[in-house]
Amino acid sequence: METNTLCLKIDANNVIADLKQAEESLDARQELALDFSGVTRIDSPGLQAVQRFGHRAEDKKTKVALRGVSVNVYKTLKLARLTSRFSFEN
Amino acid sequence: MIATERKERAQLPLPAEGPSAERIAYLESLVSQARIAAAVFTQFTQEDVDRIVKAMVLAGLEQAQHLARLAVEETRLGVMEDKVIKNMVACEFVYNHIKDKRTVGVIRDIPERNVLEMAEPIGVLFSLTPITNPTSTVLFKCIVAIKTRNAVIFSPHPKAWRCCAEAVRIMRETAVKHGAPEGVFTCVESPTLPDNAYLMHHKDVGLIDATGGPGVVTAAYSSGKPALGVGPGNTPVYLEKTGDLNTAIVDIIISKTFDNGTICASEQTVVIDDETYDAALQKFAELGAHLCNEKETKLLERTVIDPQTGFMQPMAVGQKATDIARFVGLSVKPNTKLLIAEIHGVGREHPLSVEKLFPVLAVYRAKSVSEALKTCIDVNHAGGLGHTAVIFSRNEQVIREFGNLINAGRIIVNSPGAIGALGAVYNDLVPTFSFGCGTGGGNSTTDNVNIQHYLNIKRVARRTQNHMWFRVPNQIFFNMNAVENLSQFPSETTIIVTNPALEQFGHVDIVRRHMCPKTHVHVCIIPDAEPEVKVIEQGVEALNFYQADQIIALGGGSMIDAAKIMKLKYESPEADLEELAAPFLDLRKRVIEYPKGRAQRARLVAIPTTSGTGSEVTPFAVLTDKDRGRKVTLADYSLTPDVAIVDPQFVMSMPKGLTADTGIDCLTHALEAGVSNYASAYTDANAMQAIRLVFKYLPTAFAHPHDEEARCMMHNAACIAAMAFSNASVGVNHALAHAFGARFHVSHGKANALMLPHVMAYNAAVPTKFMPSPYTKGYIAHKKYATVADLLGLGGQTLQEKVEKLIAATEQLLDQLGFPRSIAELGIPRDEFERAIPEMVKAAFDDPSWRSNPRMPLMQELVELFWKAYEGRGTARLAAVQPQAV
Ligand SMILES: NC(=O)c1ccc[n+]([C@@H]2O[C@H](COP(=O)([O-])OP(=O)(O)OC[C@H]3O[C@@H](n4cnc5c(N)ncnc54)[C@H](O)[C@@H]3O)[C@@H](O)[C@H]2O)c1
Ligand SMILES: [Fe+2]
Repeated sequence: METNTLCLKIDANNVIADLKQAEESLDARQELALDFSGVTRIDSPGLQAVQRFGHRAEDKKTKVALRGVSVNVYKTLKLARLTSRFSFEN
Repeated sequence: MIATERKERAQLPLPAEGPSAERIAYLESLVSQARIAAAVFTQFTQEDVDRIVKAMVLAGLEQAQHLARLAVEETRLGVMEDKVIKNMVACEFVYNHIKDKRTVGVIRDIPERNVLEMAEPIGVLFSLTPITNPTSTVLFKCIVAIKTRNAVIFSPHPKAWRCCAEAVRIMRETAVKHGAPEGVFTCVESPTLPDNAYLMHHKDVGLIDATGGPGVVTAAYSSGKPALGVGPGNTPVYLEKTGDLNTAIVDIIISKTFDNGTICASEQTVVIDDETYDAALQKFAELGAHLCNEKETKLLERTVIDPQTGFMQPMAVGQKATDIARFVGLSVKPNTKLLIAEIHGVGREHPLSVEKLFPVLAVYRAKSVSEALKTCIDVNHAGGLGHTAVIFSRNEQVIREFGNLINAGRIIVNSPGAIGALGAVYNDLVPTFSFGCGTGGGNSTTDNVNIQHYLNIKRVARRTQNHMWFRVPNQIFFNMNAVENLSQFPSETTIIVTNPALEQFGHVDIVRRHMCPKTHVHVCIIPDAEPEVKVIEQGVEALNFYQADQIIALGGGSMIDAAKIMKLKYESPEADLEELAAPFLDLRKRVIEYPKGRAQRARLVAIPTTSGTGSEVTPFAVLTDKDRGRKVTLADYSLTPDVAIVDPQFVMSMPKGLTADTGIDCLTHALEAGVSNYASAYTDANAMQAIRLVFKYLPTAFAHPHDEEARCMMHNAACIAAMAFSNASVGVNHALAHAFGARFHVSHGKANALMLPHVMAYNAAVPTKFMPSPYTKGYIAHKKYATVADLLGLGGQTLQEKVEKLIAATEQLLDQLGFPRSIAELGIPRDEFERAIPEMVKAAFDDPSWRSNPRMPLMQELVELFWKAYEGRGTARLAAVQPQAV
C-alpha cells in the first residue's frame, strides 16, 4: 500500500484544538506525524487529548509519529502509558 | 484506632465479592484521572509546587472551622474546638516543616560523599483515612502529596465520608486553581470494602497510605503493594517519682481530653511510683478528674469495654467524660474532664488496660521502679507495640532505660503524649497525622510519616576520586658511607638483628663503629633463613631482656622483615600474627586492625645488605610458616622502619646469584607498581626511575660486583622501587612467586624471574575479567608497559610492538643474569609440579599481592600462568595479544 506522510505542527497553547483537527487527517493510507517540538509542558486536558487521539488513531489504523517531543513531555507520556500508541522521531 | 474500624474494616483483605462492572468503570475513571495528573505533575518545578502548597495551606486554615464542624456533626465524636486546632496544625505546622524543604529535582547535595539525592514522585497514592481525625488527616495528606507531586485517591472511613469529601474538594479546587493538574485528588464516593480491595490491588496505584485500624493496615500490607500502614496504639505513661507532678498532671489531662481522647497516641495507662501516687491522684482530682471508686470502676469497665472482644466500645469513642459517666450511671461533677480508674494489672482480666480513645484513664500504683517498668512493658505489649509511650522524669538514667525497654516509635518525655507525638508543638519531631508503628505494629516504619515517605529518593553517586597516599620513612640516607648518619640517633641500648654471614663479612663492626657513643650494643644473630615465627620469638625475648630502645636491622629483606615483626611484638605483645595476616581486599577497609597507639619503645633503623626487597622503606613483612609450607604477608604502615640507610658498602659482598635474584625482585616491584591499579603520578615517578636504573646498572653489578657505581645505583633502585610498591603495591607476579617459592623452596627473586615475562604478557592482553578499580580510568596496563619501553628506548611503533620489545628486553636481561628459562630447568618433575598446582593456586589467590593487579586473575588463569612458567619463556611475547583493542 502506498503511504505518504503528513506532518502537522502542534501549538503549545492549542494542544487540544490541534489534536482535534489532526483527528480529521487520520486515514489508514497515510502516515501522520505530529510536530511536538514547541510543546515543552503538557497539562491534564492536553494529556487526555493525546490519549483520545491515540484511541482514534488506533481505530483508524493510522500510524502516528510524534516528532521533537521534549524529554519531560516524553516522561509524562510514558507515565500516562501513552508511548506505546505512537512512534517517536527526533 | 477505634473499634468501629476494627469491625467494619477487619475483613478487608478478602471481600466476598468484587465491585460491579459499573462500579469498576467508576473506580477506573478515578485511577485514570490520578494517573494522568501524576504524569503531568512530573513536569512541575519546586516553585510550582511550593506556590500551590502555600495556597492550599491558607485555604485549609480558612476552612479549619467549617471542616471541624462538619466532622463533629457527621462522626458525632471529638471536640469541635480541638478539631479546629487539629486542622490548623495539619496545615500550619506541617507547612512550617516542609516549606523550605526540597522535594523536586535535586533535594540534597552531599559533596563530601559525591552523592546527589534526587526526588522521584510515587505517582498515584491510594489513601485510607480514619474516623477519629478525618479532615485533619485529609488536609495533611493533600498538602504532603502536592509537595511531593503525587496524586491521591482518598477512601475515607464510611462514617466520616462527607466531611472528608468536603476537605478533598477544598484542597483539590485550591490546588487546581493554582496550577495543579486536574484529577490530582479524588475521593471514592461511599467507599465499600470491595472498592478498597479493588483499588489496593490496582496496578496503577504506587503506594497505599492507610491510616486506620488493624484491618485496614493488614489489608494494605497484604495487597502486595508498597504500603504505609499505620495502626492502633496503647500508650503507657510512666510518672516517675522525680517527674514534675504539676507539669505531668496538666499535660496528661491536656492530651487525654484533647478531641475527647481520639488521637491514638494519647495516654491510656499511667503507672505512678508509690511515693507520689496519692499526691498525683489528688492533683488529678483538683484539676477536674473524677476518681472512680472500686464499684464505679467495675461499672465503667463493663460499659466502655466490650467483654466479648476486650476492645473499647465504639459508642464511647470520642465522647465527653460527663456523657460517658451519665451513660455508665456515675454521678460526677458537671465540669468533669476525665474519669480515672485504678487497675491492678494488665491484660484481659483488667479490661481498662487496653486502648481507650475517650477520656477514661487507667492508673497503676507501682511499688518500685522495676515494677513500674514491667507494667509499662505490659501495656506496651497489650496493643501498643511500636506506637507511642510517655515518661515524666528528671532522672536521665530512668528515661534512657524506659527508652530502651519500651518498643515505641515515639517516646515522649515530660510532655503530653498525643500532641507530643503529632510533632513540632512540644518537641522537634516531624509533624504528622500518621504515626508509623514499626514492625511491632506490623508497619514498615516507626517514623512520623511526612514528605520523605511520599518520595522515591534517587541517589546519583558520582565516581569518587578516593584520596591516595605516598608514605615512606621520613629519613632515608643513601650513597656510599651513608651509615655514618647512624651516629645522630641517640640510644641507650641497641639490638642489631643480623645473620652469621654478615657478621663474618665485618658489616656488624662497621655499624658498631658509627653508632652513637655510649650505646650498649647487643647483637642478635638469627639463622640464615627467611623469618620464621620461632626466630621472631627469640628476638623479642632479647629486646625485652635488654629493654632496647633501638633496633638495627642489618641484612637482606629477610632480616629487615624479621626485625619489623620483632618490633611489632615487642611493642604490642598481644598482636596475633596469624590474625594480622588475615585476608583482605582493600587495605583501608580490611577487618583486622593493627595495634594502634602503641607506645614506641624502639626506633627501627633498616640497613639493607641486598639490593632488591626495599624492605627498608616498605610497610610489608613476609613471614614464613614452615609448618604449612607457606609465606604470609603482613602489611601495615606501622611496620615501616623509622630510618633507612641505603649504603652500598654493605652490598659489595653480594655473590652473583644474590645480586641477580635481588635485582630482579627490584625490577618486578617496579614493573608491578607501574601497572598497579593503585599507581599514581607519585609512584610512577619512582617505578619508572627504578626500571631505568635496573636495566642500566644490573648487568654491570652482576658482571662486575666491585663496580661501585653500579652497586650504588642498584641499591638506590631497590629503595626507589620499594617506595613505589609501598604505595601502589605489587601484583599477580608476587602472588605466584610467593606460592611457588614457598612450596618448592625457591628464592624470592628467582621465583619472580620465572614468572615475570609471562605475567607481563598476561597483563598486557585484553583481560578476561577487568579488575574493578576507582583509581584508574579504562585499561592502561599495556600503555604503561609501552611507556616503559619508550623510556628504555626500545623502539617499536605500535603499543603491541612496544610491549613485545619490553618483554623481549626483560627476557634478555634474565638470560644475561643466568636465570633458568623454566621451572622445569630447576629439576622439578612435571608430576610433582602438577600435584602442587591446586595448593599453589589456592595460596596465590589468597595472597593480597594481586589485589592491585590491573587484571583480575581467574583461578584457571593462575593455573595457566604456572604452567607457562613451568614450560619456559620465549613464548611469553607471543601471548601478548592485541593490546590496542582495549
Ligand atoms: N618486606 C618487603 O617489602 C619485601 C619485599 C620483597 C620481598 N620480601 C621478602 O624478603 C625476602 C628476600 O630478601 P632478600 O632477597 O634480601 O634476601 P634475604 O634477606 O633472604 O638474603 C638472602 C641471603 O643473602 C645473604 N646476604 C644478605 N646480604 C648479603 C650481602 N651483602 N653479602 C652476602 N650475602 C648476603 C643472607 O645472609 C641470606 O643468606 C623474602 O622473604 C621476601 O619475601 C620482603
Ligand atoms: Fe618482592
